[in-house]
Amino acid sequence: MLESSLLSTPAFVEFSKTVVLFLHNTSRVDDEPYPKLLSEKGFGGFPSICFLDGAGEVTVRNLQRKIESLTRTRAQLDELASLRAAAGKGDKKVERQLFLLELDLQMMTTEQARERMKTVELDDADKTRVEQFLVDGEVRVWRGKARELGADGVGEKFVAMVRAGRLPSADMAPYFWQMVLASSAKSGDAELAQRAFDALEDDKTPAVMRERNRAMLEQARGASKK
Amino acid sequence: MRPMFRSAAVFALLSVLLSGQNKTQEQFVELRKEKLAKSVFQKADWMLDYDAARAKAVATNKPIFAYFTRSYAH
Repeated sequence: MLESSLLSTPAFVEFSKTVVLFLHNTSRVDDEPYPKLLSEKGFGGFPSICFLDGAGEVTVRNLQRKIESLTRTRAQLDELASLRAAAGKGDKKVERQLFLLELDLQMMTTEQARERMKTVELDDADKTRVEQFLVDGEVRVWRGKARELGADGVGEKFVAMVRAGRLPSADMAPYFWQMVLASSAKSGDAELAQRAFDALEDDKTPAVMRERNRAMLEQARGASKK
Repeated sequence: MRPMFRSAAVFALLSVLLSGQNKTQEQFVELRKEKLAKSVFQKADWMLDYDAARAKAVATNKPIFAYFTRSYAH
């Protein structure tokens, strides 16, 4: 899929001039070098993409598969190098910028972000950004536990987040609201199902998915009447 | 489910689960060759050597964009 879309575009070829392109193919051929590189970098499925530094460490792993996102991240990596160099020279003024950029690039866990928050001077807008990061981080944590918790378990966690007013950013929203819709359809919470349905309504949503979502909304309405 | 359909379903599931596991080394080599010959990988300067890619990243001061894929199964 990526090979016939993103990676084949002229825009990607242009982007490729700003990076070193590395292709790792798991072939199961006996002589394959670094056969477990995928799992060593913390990935579990194909295809996966990420940015690595010269030492082979993953710098950015959560990437949108769009050229605009890759280009933006590439520019941020340059900014990151400059800020780290300045911070390394003891420039305290860059600490805030560096923290926010590393946050944007998801280079820390939510726990690390909470700790860093205490050491950096942030204004209210910055704090809102950090809070959003923490909410998105929570969504990622529950999503990562989907096998363990099951879809119902994840849905319940997300419903609790909605009730607490903790809503994810646009990037995380589709998965989040889909799970909320499924959960509220089962529990018969028509009001919440409507909210999730509205959040998922988008011109770009495929018709099949819209129909499925509408069916779940009707299921919630039906259950709430009983 | 009727026994015949149940067997077909189990066979289909096993085929998916075991895809790539019943191939010979020669077949894996052939599949790798096919994969790497795809036009998408001729359009840009993809490196297959991990050590060389890291060395180039250091020498050129550029990050590595890594793409992980597979050829043993479709």
